[in-house]
Amino acid sequence: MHNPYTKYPVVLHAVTNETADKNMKSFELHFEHEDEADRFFQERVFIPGQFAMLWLPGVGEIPLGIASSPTERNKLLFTVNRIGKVTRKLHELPCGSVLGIRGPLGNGFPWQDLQYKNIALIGGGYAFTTLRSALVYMLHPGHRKNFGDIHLFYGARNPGMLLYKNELEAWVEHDSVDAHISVDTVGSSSWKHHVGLIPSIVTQELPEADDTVCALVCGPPLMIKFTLLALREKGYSPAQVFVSLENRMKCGIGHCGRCTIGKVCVCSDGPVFSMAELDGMLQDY
Amino acid sequence: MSSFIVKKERLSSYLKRLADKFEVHVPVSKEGMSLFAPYQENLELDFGSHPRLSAKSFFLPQREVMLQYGTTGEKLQQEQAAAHFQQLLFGVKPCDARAIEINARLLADNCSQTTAQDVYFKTRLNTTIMVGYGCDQPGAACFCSSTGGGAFNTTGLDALITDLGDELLVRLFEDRPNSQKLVDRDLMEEATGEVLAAAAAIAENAEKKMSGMPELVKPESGDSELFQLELWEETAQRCINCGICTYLCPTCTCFDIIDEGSGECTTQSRCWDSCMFGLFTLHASGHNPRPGRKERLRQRFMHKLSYFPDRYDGIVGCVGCGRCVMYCPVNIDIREISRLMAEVGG
Amino acid sequence: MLPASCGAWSAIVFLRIDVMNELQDQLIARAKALLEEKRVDAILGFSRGTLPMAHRPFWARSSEEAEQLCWDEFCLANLANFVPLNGEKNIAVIVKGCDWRSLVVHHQEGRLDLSSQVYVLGIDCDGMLDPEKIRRAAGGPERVLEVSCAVEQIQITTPDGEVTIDRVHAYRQSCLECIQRAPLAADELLENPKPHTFPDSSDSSGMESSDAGSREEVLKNQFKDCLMCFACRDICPLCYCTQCFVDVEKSHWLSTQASIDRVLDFHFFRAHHIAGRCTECGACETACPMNISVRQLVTRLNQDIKEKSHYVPGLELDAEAPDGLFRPSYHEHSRRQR
Repeated sequence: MHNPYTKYPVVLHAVTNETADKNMKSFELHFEHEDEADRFFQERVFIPGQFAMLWLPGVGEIPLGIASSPTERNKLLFTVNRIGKVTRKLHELPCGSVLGIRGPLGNGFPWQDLQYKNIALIGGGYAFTTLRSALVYMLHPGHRKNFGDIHLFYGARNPGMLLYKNELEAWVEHDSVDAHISVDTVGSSSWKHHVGLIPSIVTQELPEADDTVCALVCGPPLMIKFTLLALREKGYSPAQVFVSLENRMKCGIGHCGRCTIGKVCVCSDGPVFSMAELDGMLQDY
Repeated sequence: MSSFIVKKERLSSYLKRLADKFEVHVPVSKEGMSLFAPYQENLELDFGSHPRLSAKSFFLPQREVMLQYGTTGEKLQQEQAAAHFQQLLFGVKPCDARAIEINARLLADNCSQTTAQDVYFKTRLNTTIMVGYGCDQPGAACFCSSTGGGAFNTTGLDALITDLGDELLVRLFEDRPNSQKLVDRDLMEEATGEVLAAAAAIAENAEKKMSGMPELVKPESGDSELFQLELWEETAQRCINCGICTYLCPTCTCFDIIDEGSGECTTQSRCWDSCMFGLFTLHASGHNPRPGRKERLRQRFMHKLSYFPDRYDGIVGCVGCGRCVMYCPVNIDIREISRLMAEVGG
Repeated sequence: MLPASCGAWSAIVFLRIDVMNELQDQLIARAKALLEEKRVDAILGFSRGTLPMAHRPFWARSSEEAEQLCWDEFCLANLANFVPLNGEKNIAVIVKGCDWRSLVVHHQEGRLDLSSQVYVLGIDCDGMLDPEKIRRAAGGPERVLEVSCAVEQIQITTPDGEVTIDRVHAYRQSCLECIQRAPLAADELLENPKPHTFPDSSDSSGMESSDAGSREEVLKNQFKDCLMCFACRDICPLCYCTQCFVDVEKSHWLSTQASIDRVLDFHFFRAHHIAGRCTECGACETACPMNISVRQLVTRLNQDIKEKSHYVPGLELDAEAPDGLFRPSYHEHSRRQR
């Protein structure tokens, strides 16, 4: 019988400091065993929007949205805020350390529904990770033709807090991405993008909705709340907007009971829910 | 179905012979508290009382090591904690056995992903034999028949005993392959039709004693309406948010996963957790979706009486064993809560 | 087993059942008057629960609700910690001696102002009965269908008929050891004219056995059934920290490795946190679903404190507590995380 708690051993290959306050780092992990990588990256097994449990021996296991795309084969990227026991320890780990991975877990973004649509990716703060996965996936030459226009909205508190700075420039320059980067406050005058909160940038810059659009939203609760309002005003229907939720998790497979919102289990039914599903959910999160 | 008679004076011989083949656990009374204990000769067996802890401990132990890890150099070895000897629980209450079936809906059967079967629970489910002991006398806090069960309900059982006074009728359920392992022709005789009729009368009489109790069913009102009830705030005023109801509950299965050890030898284990505890849902950021007693208490009852039946064919997540009613220090009674939830809008 | 001092108890003239009912009648009358006169907004006491011996904390906010108040031998919980959770300030609390002593400790620790914030409706308590002793006498917890308490005997209705036990054999252990049955200061006191005889507390735990090794074995055996449900902490009138030490790093306490050591650690830590503050009301032992004598550890510490500092907690509002006692950290406006 397959044991859902066994882990794939992975090696910490590279660590990148993402933000000015050094609290966000990206961790690139490589599979120890080729056959396990094959299993993880099998077609239709791993899709952007999913998460994995990252395990530090003797310390603990945490759910993390997968920031890399299935198209970046054999590599897994997680961007992690230093906040709890496990993440503190993770931030101190030297390259070469052996860790464990369980996954991919959860439903991921609804790629069947997203095909041939114009996609708006809307992210705020630390929660941009799975949107990076989605963007890299859609921009991959093998997939680009399956999607229409791509609108990217990404905001952070200040320029130093933006993730994936090297790639951001490329996305902004990219012909087929309509990118809107924004910060709440600007430190220096060299900032050449938006200043303001994401919901208002969305209101200003996102085209009105028609039946060819879909939006993927990730971010802190308040940002999600106001972004959804902005999207509704743009004419987005509840079935056209998808939100990724976070909750405390332990098992990641719908058993341990702590990530439930009403009868919905965030880890096994989600973490991605349509705005329609969200509207029907109890306010218990 | 085959049915056998074991004379009470032969019971200890029978149990002794079963104990040669299986890890047998029997309910034993000590200072007024009944608990399952490994079978030994000369124990004071107590088939009448409800064991303080349900049979859930044998499928989802309070503490259990799941995986052991060794790191040598850069390699990681993982070992699944070993499967154990075949367990035989002798004298399980029908409500407790039915609870295991309900737990299996979540942990072993009806999973949204085929990969997400709990291998530890499932292994025990396959290897544990449960011999039930029908309740001819419902207890003060019992309400099994209000939840879809009954004093002689056979769900989850491999065999069910009816106490006939000087002898025990053991009915074996042939759809459960393990039941045949209970046959011991040296000590058992085939039951006659007369005996079976007598046993049926006992069961019927027991069911009659429990009839007339209000049903515990999913309330008709929608979740959002139930969610807003003042009942939660009112009840939370006396709820102390301890773990008694969840730990004694045979259908509560929430758990925590903990990592321990250091260096070359670490383990990943799990232990019971409780939705009554604030840490259960606390985010690392400090945000807590269920920050207070009201939210946590509401979660427990909404889960049992609404969310669970919604997901699993209308079955409520309660078997009516009465433990939470009996041992709650502030008398929060699921029957009363259920009634108040059902009264909304009606 | 009852302590040897029980002999003294059997000589007592016991409160009659009609006296208990009389007390309840008095209590309801006073509660109604206080509410009708708008002296208080609510009365915190007990109402009858859904099973025998299972009374529940209850807030009466109207004269009609006051009819539901009850008083008898099963008002087991200590109400001190239920007082401020409600947010109401103008509240009367029905207290036994032990509940009052806990409120005194709260007052000393600044959690509430007993003289201005709480109207103390004191009861001269005759001792509570132990539901587990009654369940045992009935032959099992589920066999207790009804309990009626007469002068010297407790009558239990079981499915097979009536069982009786002597009242002396049904008292809660902490009540046998009680040193203060009625509040020493109350806004009003419902009195029972009856002789008070306090038996000496006795150690039945094995705590006094000579060497540390066997003491450890005794304790391990006594605490082996602990489930870490934390009911003892959660019902305790003194465990009102905003964050309990257990909840700082919970996985430590729930370890699979040497779990009995962690169980004992928990109870030892907690005993030290309530030492010199605990009034030995017995709420923890009553709440424990596994019949563990959780109080014995703090009883021992309290004895030490009494010997060394001549201090007994919760008897005087302005008493100076000895140095080194634990002080809970409590923020009135933050909800408890646990």
